[in-house]
Amino acid sequence: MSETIRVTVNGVTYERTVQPRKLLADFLREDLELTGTHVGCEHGVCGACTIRVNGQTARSCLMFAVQADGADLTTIEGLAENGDLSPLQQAFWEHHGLQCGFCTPGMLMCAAELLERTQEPSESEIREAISSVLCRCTGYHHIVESVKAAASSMRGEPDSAAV
Amino acid sequence: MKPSAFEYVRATSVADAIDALARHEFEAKILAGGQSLVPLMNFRLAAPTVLVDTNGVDGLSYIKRTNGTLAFGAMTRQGAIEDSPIVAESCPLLLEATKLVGHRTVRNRGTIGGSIAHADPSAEYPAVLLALDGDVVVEGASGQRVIPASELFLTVCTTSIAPNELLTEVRLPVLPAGTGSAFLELNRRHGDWAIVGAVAVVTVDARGICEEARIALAGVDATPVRCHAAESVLQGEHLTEQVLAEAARQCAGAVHPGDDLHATGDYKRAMVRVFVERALRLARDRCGRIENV
Amino acid sequence: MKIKGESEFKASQQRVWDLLLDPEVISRCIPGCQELKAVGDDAFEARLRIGIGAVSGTYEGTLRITERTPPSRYAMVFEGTGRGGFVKGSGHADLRAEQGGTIVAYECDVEVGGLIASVGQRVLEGVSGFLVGQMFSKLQGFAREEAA
Repeated sequence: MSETIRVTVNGVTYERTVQPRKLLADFLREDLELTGTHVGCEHGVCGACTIRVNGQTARSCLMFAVQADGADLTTIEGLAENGDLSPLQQAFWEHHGLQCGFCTPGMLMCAAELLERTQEPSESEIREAISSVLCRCTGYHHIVESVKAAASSMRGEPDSAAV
Repeated sequence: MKPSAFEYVRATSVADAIDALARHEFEAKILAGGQSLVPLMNFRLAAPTVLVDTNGVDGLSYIKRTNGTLAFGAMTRQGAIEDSPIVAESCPLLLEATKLVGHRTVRNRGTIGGSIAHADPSAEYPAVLLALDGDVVVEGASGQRVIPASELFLTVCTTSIAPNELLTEVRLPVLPAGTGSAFLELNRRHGDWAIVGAVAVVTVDARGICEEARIALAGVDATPVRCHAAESVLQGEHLTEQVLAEAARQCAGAVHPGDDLHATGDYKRAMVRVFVERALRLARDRCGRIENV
Repeated sequence: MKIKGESEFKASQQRVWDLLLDPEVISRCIPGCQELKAVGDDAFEARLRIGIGAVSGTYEGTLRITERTPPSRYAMVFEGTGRGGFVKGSGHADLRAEQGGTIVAYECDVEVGGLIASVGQRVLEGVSGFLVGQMFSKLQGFAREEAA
């Protein structure tokens, strides 16, 4: 038995028919071909599939696509505007915030939520915010530096940490 | 696809959800925040044939303070509890426990009712409910009833809520002035299950004497447990270091946790002593009457 | 994993012995037992549906009584499989008369494997104890009815 749902993803509204058991992560990747959301553990441990649901981060492997009916979703594809990297993405680029890139979508979605909640996050707040995402390259140091740099550039400060 | 196929019921009212449970009884599960249930389904350890989604039920998400009671709608997200000024003021213990539940991303979805109904013995909210002698309100086809925390938890992930009943509200008492509390936990990484979790609540009078003490533990038995014997060590006493140490020792003596991947039973017992003592000290120091101790 | 404990019955030792070894009674006391049938001398096949929280499954298995010393001791071996994994083990029960009633002391060694063991290790002991407790409390109910 299938259900028809309407979801808005990165400002575009889609209508699709899905089986109730289809995970939201798989729906995004397979049905909408938005493969920027990565699927790692598929049981809510690694955080790679983190997206924003009505503005709040959520693990898309722990939601069913049918639950997103009527919801407004943001995935990593929605961060750049008109092909220009967001300040957060730019900072990850400049500060080597990614190595293999697998966890990056989850890291970016969590960091984006943090930077909307607070303009001047402390290092411990940054670490807390990204704690739900595992980086297998163990590249946390540069990720934290990237988020710090993004915060200062979003406050309009010159990037003193740039290399 | 990872989970087994199921029939999806989008409940829009409490009556709707209860009706779906009554029709499917043992085959149906409530889908609240999904942060514990969906992993089990992805593993196919859980394979309910009907999922009743209560995320669309109006009026199950609220935090109210009335006459000395804090009431939470079952679908209130842990993230909303974390951000609530009412909770910060009226139940700092719940706020401290909330910050230990997974990570913010998990708390954005996870609910207070779901966490309590799931009844994981290592989870934070069941231990808080038990420590504070809270109640849950459940509704079924035959009406509403109130279950006190002491009668709620039967064994691992099993409660006295019947398969055809829905948990609708969680009630916690607002504690009197002179009360301090603490929730401390031992785990391998932040956000993991508690290997040992310790809740301590003490109410101290103007003379510095302990009027009431509550101690609950998570992770050491099939349900959260209260340590009444240790509580009575504290009652009527000045909370000196020796008294706290004796209460902590009693707690360790009262539990018999088993070995698992993370720790041996003996180690957990040793940590019960350490964490209860630390939690009690913190609770005492937070009661606002420390100068009298 | 070891499961051990004692259960107190308000009935004579012979009566408790008869109850414990009556497949009809046992099948009504084991939580979730859907079928228990004899397949030869002292050998039985069983089908159980066990549900703990969200996790429920059907398990099929066999049980064989390996020692019988009426009315004081019996021992058994058992094994079963289901979607979540397997269980196998052995156990024994000792009956003794005490203050007009009967005490049953039981001890089982259980090995659990497969998915359920790797994921559910944290919870298995508690669950097993709960299920055994449920079975004995139903049996005590039977004994009381008989006595009344």
